[in-house]
Amino acid sequence: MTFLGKVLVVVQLGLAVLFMAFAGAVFTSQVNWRAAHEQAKKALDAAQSKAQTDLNALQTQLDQLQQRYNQLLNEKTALEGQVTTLTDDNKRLDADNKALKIEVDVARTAAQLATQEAEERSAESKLQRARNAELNDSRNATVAELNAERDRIFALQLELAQIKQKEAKLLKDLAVMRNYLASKDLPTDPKLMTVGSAPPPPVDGKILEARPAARGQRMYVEVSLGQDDGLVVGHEMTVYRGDKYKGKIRLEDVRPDKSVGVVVETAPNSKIEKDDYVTTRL
Amino acid sequence: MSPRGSSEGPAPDIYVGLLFASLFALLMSILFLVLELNKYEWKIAP
Repeated sequence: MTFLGKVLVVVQLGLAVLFMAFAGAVFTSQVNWRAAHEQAKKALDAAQSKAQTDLNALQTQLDQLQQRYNQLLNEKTALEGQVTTLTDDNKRLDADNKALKIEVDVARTAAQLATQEAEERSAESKLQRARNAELNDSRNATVAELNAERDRIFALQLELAQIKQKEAKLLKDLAVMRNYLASKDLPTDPKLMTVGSAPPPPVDGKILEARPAARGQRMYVEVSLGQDDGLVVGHEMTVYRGDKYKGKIRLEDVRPDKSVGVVVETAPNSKIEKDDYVTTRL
Repeated sequence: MSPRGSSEGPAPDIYVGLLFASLFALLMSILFLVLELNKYEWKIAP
């Protein structure tokens, strides 16, 4: 073998070994790009399918949103009209509000007045209630007093009936006694009876008028003394002029400032006249 | 190398062993490439 053949053999061996090394490296470390491609393709298909589904959903949502947008647009137009109307209404309501505020102020003033009136009425009612309570107490007391008075009246009526019975009995007894006294020629007038027990006070007076006695009748004189001087019916007085005794009179009718008496005794040869003096001292 | 027409061939030397080693290397390389192409199902273009 020539030298060139030997060199070629060695070169062929080196290249063969190098080729084997490259082939082995490729076989052992090479990634399976086809499988990766298939996997990526499947993922892509799935993603495309999902994207299509999402796209359809979004398209549906977009259509719904478009409809909603159109609807909202219509509503916006309607609401703009309502806004215009409401603006006019608002202006009108502002005017009404001002008028109502004035009315509210008036009503508030009236309410304050009514409140004050109600407070006054309440205070008045309290006073009236207290007054009613007092009146009720007074009425109860009055009713109690009335009942007591009725009881007392009833008792007095009973007593009056008893007194009337006693009076009737006493009148009967008095009539009997008067008849008895008359039969004994004794005075029946109680005033005449008390004269003896009560002597006349020491007073002096004058005869104001003397009426002459008619035939068979007693002589009456008017004296300037009366009840104010302590005289009563039945008292006897002495008539005189100067130091001359002229007679005696007995009072029959006594008034506050004068009296009328009857002449019971006349001195011989004398006549009782006007301006004669009378006295009880003798 | 032995001359032509001789009945007994020349005795193999080291270079013949190198040639067999080269053949083995080529066969292994071909095997690796075949296995690699088998992964792609023998489709070169997608």
